Amino acid sequence: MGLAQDGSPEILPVRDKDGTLKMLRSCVEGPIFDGAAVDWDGIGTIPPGTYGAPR
Amino acid sequence: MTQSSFDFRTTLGSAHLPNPILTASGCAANGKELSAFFPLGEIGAVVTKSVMNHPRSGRATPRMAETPSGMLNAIGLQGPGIDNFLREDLPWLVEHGARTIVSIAGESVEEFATLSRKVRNAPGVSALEVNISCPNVENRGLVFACDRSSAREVIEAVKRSVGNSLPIMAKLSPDVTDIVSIAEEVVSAGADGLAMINTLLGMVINTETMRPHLANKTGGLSGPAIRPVAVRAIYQVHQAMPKVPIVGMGGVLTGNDAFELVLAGASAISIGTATFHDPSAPVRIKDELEELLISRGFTRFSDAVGYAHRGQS
Repeated sequence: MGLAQDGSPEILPVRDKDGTLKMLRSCVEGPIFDGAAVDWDGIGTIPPGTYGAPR
Repeated sequence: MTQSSFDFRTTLGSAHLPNPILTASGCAANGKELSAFFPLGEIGAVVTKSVMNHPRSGRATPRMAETPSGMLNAIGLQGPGIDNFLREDLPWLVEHGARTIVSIAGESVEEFATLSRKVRNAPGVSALEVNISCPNVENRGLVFACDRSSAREVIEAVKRSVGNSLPIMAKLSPDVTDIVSIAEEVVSAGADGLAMINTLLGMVINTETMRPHLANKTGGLSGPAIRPVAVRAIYQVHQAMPKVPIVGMGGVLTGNDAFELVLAGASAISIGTATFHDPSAPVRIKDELEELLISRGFTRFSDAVGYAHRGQS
């Protein structure tokens, strides 16, 4: 899991309304996300296809 | 002397700023977050997060760790890419009255050249920060800022791209044996000023998981823990090149901390890690520094720059 030291997720892979997967900061873009938009299995990684992922 | 008559202006090459307090690149994204806490035009300039040619997702998480009197980060230069930045973020900053220093980062000399060419023609840019603390993919991943010839190549390429249209501030890493020699190299290559210091490379191991805490294993250490390193580096470089403007940064939490960097030789001060727990810190520190300078009898900010060097040959 991509957790901060206090155990909270610091940044999450979340799909925007166009379906693009982006790494979003919970502190700024959150703290609440639509659970259906979060790539739960991708937390702690840069999931394939993420916007700006290493090529 | 009152605040209304105190001359708080500073200059970074051809950039003239109403006061010397800036944000530190990477600690306030591209300004929108901070605008909820103060008008961005109140500080000298917003230094944007280092932007690269293409959009970047950044690194896997965890990316941050708390450390004694500081923090460690390995964000991986997440950002929109230069074209999106110039289309959306920079106009937003201009519209909101911010003076802007655009920070660029590249993985090759050519990437730096391309970025600076694009920024050169953008309206509303006060200066260009060249973040050379990136690995050079064309030279075994060696960080540009840690190698004199690589650092020179980048600054020469940027200078060829922008000419005298924008002041170039080269951002230096403290993770070198002799920061003065790197500073002299980039200034002779065309840098109009220096931004220092970048973070120091560090590492935290989680004793519960018994693995490195950061997904990237290593990260950049910032915060008050590194302030004495910043003071030393700024002092040494100012002593060697007193006419070269320095944007000082490294763990500034208060006006007194900023004053210390100014006395060492900084012509401007960037506030970084402090904004994570106090987003209004840049304005607070500006006011604290101004009061402190007045109380010490200064009538102009510029007279305090490098004041700790007085009487030395």
